[in-house]
Amino acid sequence: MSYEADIDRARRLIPLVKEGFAVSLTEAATRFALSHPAMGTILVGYGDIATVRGRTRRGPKRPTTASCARPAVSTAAAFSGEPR
Amino acid sequence: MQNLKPANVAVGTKVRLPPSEIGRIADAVRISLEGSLARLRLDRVDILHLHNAITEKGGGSALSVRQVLDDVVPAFERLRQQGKIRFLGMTAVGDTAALHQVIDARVFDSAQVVYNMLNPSAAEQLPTSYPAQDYERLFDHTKAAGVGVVGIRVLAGGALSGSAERHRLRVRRPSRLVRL
Repeated sequence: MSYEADIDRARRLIPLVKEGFAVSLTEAATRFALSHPAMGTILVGYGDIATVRGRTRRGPKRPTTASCARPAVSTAAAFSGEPR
Repeated sequence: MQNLKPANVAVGTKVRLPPSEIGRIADAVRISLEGSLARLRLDRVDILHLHNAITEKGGGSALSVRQVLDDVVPAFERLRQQGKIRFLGMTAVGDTAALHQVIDARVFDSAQVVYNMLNPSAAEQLPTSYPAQDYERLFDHTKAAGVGVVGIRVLAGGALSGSAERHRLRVRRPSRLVRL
């Protein structure tokens, strides 16, 4: 799977973030994963200790599944047929 | 870990067997866990996750379904009997059909599952020709088997971090982090 292609697809998710779904792509991605009822916890690696401290102090909000999943579902359809 | 003295925290660690150790899985798992416990300065951890890919036939650094069920699981169970781990974990990377088989065997308590905005296939059916591995609703299997889920690659290796640079830890070995 191409990391560059993933970056490109991630960029196309940014408008969803700006529509008020989350304050940043990272927060949207974190909330998306946590919002699924199957998910017990998530493992996320951060590049430096300051980011870890910031994230653990705030803690991710737990949104409803519907508000998170809906944009991703419509976007998933848009990615169909693209190379990995 | 000693400084933080965490309360109400489940501590997990992982074992990835190199191809050279796949002929002696039980010993390799035990030695790996002992090393992790020594680095963590703990007598036990809550979860031990197997971190090799799982395929139907194995090969390379991947383990076969049979190696996981016949060799890894008994080795993990022994460690559980010795009180060194509480829960048995696996990582759901490899061939989708093989992963379903291992989860359906109901021998693991926890699975690390790839789930993110670019690949939600563990939860939902993907459109045709979707550019990612299809995990074919793996969550249906974990739920039916009573397997807990730990989400991994939730930022798609950094692609969803909002930065074009790949996460440094993925390309450079962390020098100051304790390898768990």
